[in-house]
Amino acid sequence: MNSKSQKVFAAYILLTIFILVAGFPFFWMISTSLKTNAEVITVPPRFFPPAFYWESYLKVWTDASFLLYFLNSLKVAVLNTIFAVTLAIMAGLGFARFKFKGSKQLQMIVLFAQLFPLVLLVTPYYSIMKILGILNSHKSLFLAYTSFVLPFSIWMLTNYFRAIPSEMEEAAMIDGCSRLMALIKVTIPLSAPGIVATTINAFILAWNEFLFAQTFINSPELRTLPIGLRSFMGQYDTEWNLLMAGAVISTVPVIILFIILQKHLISGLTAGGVKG
Amino acid sequence: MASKAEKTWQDKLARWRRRENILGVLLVCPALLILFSVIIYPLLLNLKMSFQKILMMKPYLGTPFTGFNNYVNTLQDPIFWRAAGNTAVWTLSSVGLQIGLGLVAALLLNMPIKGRGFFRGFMLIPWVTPGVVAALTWRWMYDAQFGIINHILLKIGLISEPIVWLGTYNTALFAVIAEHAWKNFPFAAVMILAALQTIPGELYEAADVDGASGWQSFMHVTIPEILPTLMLTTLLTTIWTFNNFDTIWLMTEGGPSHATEVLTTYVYKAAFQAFNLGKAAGISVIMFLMLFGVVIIYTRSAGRERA
Repeated sequence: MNSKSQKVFAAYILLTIFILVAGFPFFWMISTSLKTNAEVITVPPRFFPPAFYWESYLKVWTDASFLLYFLNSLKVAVLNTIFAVTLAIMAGLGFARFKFKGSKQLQMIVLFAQLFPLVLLVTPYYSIMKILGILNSHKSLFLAYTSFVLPFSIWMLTNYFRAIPSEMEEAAMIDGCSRLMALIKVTIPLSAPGIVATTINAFILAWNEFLFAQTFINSPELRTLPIGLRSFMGQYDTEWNLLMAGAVISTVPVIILFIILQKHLISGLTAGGVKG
Repeated sequence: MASKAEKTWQDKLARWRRRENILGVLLVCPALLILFSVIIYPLLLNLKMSFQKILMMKPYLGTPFTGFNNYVNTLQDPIFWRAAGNTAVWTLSSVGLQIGLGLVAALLLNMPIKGRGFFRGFMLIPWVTPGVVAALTWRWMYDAQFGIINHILLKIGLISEPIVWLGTYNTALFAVIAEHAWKNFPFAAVMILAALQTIPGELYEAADVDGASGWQSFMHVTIPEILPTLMLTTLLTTIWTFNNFDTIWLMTEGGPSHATEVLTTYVYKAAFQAFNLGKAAGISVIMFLMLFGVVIIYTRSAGRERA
């Protein structure tokens, strides 16, 4: 072997170690979810379940509250995403296509808005929502999630719209379209992949949120999935196979969305960064 | 002097431009109004609350202004300093690991290998996994009695008896850092890989012709070329790690005896366990100033880099 193919061989070995470490907790989650109660607490633990035991998945699904948590998460995330992405499309077009006073500064604010610790907002939110009387309701989550989903979506979409050349818009305007119609009829369809990627990213952000949901929601029937999962942890003992089955179910939608959009997601994320 | 016709034409153009820009402002306005009400207003309210005494359990006390009381109380609290120290350890170690692992992974993925997409996709699993799921899964893996981590380490002889990873003062912080670095290094890897792929091959050829060793071309070609991305990625991961609440809360809630207490869990406990909203607001303002400091240092050094 020459030194070049030796290097490539070493790279394969190292990469394999990387993906083993990266993937192991995921594997362990699935493996645990397929074990019986007794197998979960066997010492020493076995890497593979002796037989696939699907009972936990059935139990998790037929457990009425888990389905409820799932639907709650879906409701909050979908509504929030639609709201935030609609506003972000408008704002993104405004920032990417027009020049007005303060535009640069406002974009900086949007960028910095993403850098806040959410914990900083949780105290004032609590007081505001108490006054508005929306604590312990999905409205509180809708409001709170906007604080991170919206700036993220504006930032991503502004970058996407900037990357779309404006010549086609100008051509449409020469053909008699108004500026607004040109944006709606030309720019938005052209940036459909970017809009879809932003939507999915926004959805995942809302879907995964833990802090606000755990603080503002009291009633078990209003819990979202992350809080529901957390509530599977018992004070003294935890049915880990059940919890891990719930974990797999919460992860699957995210992974599917991610696989569909892997390319867009990565190019979108790195677009802002690489040019420096 | 401009002729009259030219002037009216210019007027028209200016008016048209202005109308144009009004459309831009109109498009941006709704989003900004919402951002103002969900971010700026709450932050201002937070600032005001930080000068008030607000005890949720004693509403009959009202909310009197107490000057810098909350700040003084916070700065005199030894647990605040413990949390600040832990935050520094947590942030620096986790970011170091994320960037280090991310850089190595990116360099490997940038080699002429087959199946790059497969490796990259697989490596992104931790990053895509929901935070709550990841934290609970690691908590299970760290389990002292039935956990797989103790089992593996015992088997290969790295430890001689099971360790209560999350319940032991000296191992808890280290254990949560490992989870967080695992979860987030893929972001750094993807960012750095994208930067590596923009480096023109001629640069390496030129270095080769000049007789540079692999290490020399890495230090003098690769690093300078990816430096802006490396710095931006470091800034983002630093902020995200500093801000993290979920991981630590779900794995240890800051325990045992404050071994993993960071500022985010500290502020949360002040607000929702001690129900002292005024003090929590004060801690938040202090954290905000710290973050602001980090961003300023970054923009300064980034500016110097460019100059």
